[in-house]
Amino acid sequence: MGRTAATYRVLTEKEIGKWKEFRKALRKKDREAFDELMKKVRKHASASSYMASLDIFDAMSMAILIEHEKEIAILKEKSEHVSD
Amino acid sequence: MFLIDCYPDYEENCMTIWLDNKRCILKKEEFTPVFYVKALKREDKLVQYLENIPFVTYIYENRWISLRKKAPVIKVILSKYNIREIASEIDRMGGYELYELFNVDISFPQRYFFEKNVFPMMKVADDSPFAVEYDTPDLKELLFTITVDSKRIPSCSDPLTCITITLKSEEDSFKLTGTEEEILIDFVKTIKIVDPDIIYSCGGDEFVFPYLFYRAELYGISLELGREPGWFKKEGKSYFSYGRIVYKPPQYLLKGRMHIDTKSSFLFKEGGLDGLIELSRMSRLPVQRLSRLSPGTAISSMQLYEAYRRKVLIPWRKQTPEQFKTALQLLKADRGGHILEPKIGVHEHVGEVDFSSLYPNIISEFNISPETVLCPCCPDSQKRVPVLNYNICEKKRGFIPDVVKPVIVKKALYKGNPELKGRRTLLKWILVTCFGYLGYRNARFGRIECHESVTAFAREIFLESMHTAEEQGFEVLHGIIDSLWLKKKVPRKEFECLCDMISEKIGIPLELEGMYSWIVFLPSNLGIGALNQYYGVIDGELKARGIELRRRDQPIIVKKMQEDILQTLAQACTKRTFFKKIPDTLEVVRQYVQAVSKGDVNLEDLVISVGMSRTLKDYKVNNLTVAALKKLKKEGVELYPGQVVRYIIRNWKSRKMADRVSIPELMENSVYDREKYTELLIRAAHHMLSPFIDEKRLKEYITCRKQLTLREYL
Repeated sequence: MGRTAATYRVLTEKEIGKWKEFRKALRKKDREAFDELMKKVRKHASASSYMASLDIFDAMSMAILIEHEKEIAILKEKSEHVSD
Repeated sequence: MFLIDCYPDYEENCMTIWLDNKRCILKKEEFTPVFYVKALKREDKLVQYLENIPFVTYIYENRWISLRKKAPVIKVILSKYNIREIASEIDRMGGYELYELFNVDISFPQRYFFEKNVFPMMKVADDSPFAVEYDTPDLKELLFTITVDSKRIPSCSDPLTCITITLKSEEDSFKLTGTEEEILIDFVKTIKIVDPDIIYSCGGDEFVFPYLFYRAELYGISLELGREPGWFKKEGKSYFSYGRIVYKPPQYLLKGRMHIDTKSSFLFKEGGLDGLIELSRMSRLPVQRLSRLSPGTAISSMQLYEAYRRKVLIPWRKQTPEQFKTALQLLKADRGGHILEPKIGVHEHVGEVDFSSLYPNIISEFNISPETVLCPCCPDSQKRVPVLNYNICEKKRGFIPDVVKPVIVKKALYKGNPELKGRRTLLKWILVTCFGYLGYRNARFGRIECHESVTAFAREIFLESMHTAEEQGFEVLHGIIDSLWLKKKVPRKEFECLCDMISEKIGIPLELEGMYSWIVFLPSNLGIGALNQYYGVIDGELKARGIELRRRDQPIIVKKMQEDILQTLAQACTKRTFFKKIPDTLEVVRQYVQAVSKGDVNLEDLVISVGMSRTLKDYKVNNLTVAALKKLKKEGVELYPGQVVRYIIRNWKSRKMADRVSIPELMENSVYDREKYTELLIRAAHHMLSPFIDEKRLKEYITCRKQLTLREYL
């Protein structure tokens, strides 16, 4: 395992590496936002690994969407308290 | 009467059998070994060759040549014990491709035990290797150690000054002294008079026996310690295993007694004599030989016997290629167990639940075996491997499950009896290795698809357990392959109920390992939960994984500090008190840092030990290890891959390589790099406390003596 084919975690890091230049050209604030997104990606490495799709970027995007959905839910709840 | 051991007599071409009926009986028994050849072409040439060897006869037979295929073969019967020689010659004659050979590399004791359906340490006529309660022979045990007159590391040129002999039955020891010649003669005499069944040595294979042979030869004494003259000797060798260099010492085996080297025998250290006897009975490998083997060889032997029992021939060299897979199939199949990222920070009301022997249980429950996975007889089988969708045979019970099942059952039956711990430990090792042997290239009955199927089932079981736990209101904090960390504010009983529920659903027992008063999951440097890095107090005891404490390449002082931090935290029994203890841990760190900067430390505590991965000239970067190696080389000491180099950091930033490190054994003064060691301490402390305080503030606090209030660091 992990000797014939790279593990999913390694492949994800490789994919993130592909965006190195993109990240480099960002402003500091945006770079920080980029890094936060990648944290969200790594948080769901096990689910991506279980699915084992060849489209790594798809799995990465889904991981980010999930984290955003959770954040929206939290904000929604907070805003409801405010309007009350 | 017990059957203790057997071994070949290459001169008489018969087997020596060792029986024990209150006293030892050695007897000779006729036994003709056989092997099989299947000619793919040019059978005439093979037959002609066999006709011309006087001590060989042959017959034609129809046999199972694999778990699925029957074919005509030639059975070669030898009256002389040189199977290897003849087999190699036939193989060479066929250009290594015309003739397939079977049952060649099976040792003589195994052949004898397999064919007669007996096993070592068996009570003759009425005993089974699967028995849980059985009698063992009354063996006389003798232990000896030697004293060599040497100031440094002893070598063959140093004289022998004393042999100390201890008899296990009498718990009594005595010394053989006098001139070296007298000691050696007395030693041989003593063994003859005491007549032990087992001789224990400490490092007998690596040093003691080669040394004693050398010394005895100087006086013309023949060192005969067996009940029959002669020894079985094997040279030592280095070999590669999973990218690591391993050194295997030479072997010195006695005839008619057993020599067990307590220092080099892994299985003896793990399971003691009781464990060895258990495994010897199960694997049909003689105790003396088994004590020098790995658990993997024992499981292989159990597989070989099962093949014998099923009348399947054993290929000499395994030749089953992997099936072709697409890249996506490979990505889906070539994976290990499932891991769930932990939730960083401190938690309470946490229980750890584990599947015991998950992989072996999967093999047995789901019938995973080389001939059952992707079997041609049931392509539409209802039994499928999850995700991979391989079909599993519905008609036949697999061969590997039959090997594994009794081991699982036996291990479970031995549970809870502290007297049988040795047996249980060795059975555990068998279960741990049996999975690895499913995919291993050299394993004769391994097949990579079985390996993949087992991990596929394991991932499915992991997720199903996770879902069940969540439905029952538990939060899943972390999970690794066969263990889950669950959180719910309920009494222990409810965790146990959940385990029962999941065990029932899956069919494999899930057990509550224990309840944590609190547990901390640590982040990795990527900012997410690190896999398998945690510490906590489980049922009143500290448990830590993946932190410096458990790593060899850190100085002892770092480990001591972390140990102290843990001890301080362990006084807390809830999450709230845990937080109250954090200022105390900072105090611990401060004391260590102060000691280092004042020079108030034991130098041995500063030593860093690093295992070498290559020789000096192959290192590409100039790191501290290289600096240390260069220094040692100057002193004429050369180390080899696999060995450990020890050094103290002297001046990390020095431009001169030689100034960067000191070798502890050669140190003239006690200069060391106080700044670097302070940094190592702070980094290690931060690693443990990272969920609670950031590195910069920790450093500030430690070095500036700034008093942090509780509120400040939270």
